[in-house]
Amino acid sequence: MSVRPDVGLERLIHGLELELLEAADEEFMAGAKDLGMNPEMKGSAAFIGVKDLSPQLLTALRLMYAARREGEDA
Amino acid sequence: MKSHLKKLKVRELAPSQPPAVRALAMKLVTNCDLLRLKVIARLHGRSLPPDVCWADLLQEAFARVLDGSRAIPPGVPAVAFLAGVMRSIKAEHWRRRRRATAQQPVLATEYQVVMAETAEACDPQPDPERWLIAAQQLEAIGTLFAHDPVALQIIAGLGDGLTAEEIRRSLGMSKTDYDSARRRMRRALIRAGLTTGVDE
Repeated sequence: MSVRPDVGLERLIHGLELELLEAADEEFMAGAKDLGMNPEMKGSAAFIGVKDLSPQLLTALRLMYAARREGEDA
Repeated sequence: MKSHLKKLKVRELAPSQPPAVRALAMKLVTNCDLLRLKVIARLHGRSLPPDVCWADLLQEAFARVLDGSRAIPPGVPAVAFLAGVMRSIKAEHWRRRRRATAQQPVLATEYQVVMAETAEACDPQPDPERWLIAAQQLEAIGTLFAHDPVALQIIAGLGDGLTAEEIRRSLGMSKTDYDSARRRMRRALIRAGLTTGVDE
């Protein structure tokens, strides 16, 4: 790569993102099934981080609502 | 009584479900779209500041679309739009980070000395932390495709900003061979994007 790493990485990510946007749905289902995941099942591991809240996001939401509650109580 | 009512209102506002699940319930996306967006978010997660994770990026993108702060233009697929929102949120995080770094003059000055020899004119003030993360992640992506020399060449081309057609021509590949390499790359990306957990 002939550019700075940060510039090169962003270009690469953009190029790969386009690849993923073009990919057929079946490729994602097959990828999950290759890993032993069944996305059609409720609670499938394929959706970790998607259908649940990450610890960071939970903390941010708790802080936001705590601040809002304090504001209303004041 | 008044205070009790206010507390109830706050509780009602607190989200009981992640924005991605609400978007699924509203049929804005399908389960398969969620898999696709997870893999894309994991990819963007490679160039996020260390205090932000890909799952936050993904949920924040959904939250902005659901709360109306980012409206999907007519005719634009929801998944492509959400990917764009993730890109823009990532840029915001780095801008915020840069403002914080600007308050550390010693580090910034030292870095400029290093940068003067190698930086591109188009980006005068690169972030040292971002540079380091990017170098590590380029190496990690290289490792992901280490077994596939053609994929490595395509990656180098994408990093240089070449289009798919330009890369294919520069490698002297037939369209069939090139498409086959792209399929292998997508398979590896999908596997990597679905394998890892939230904290990685």
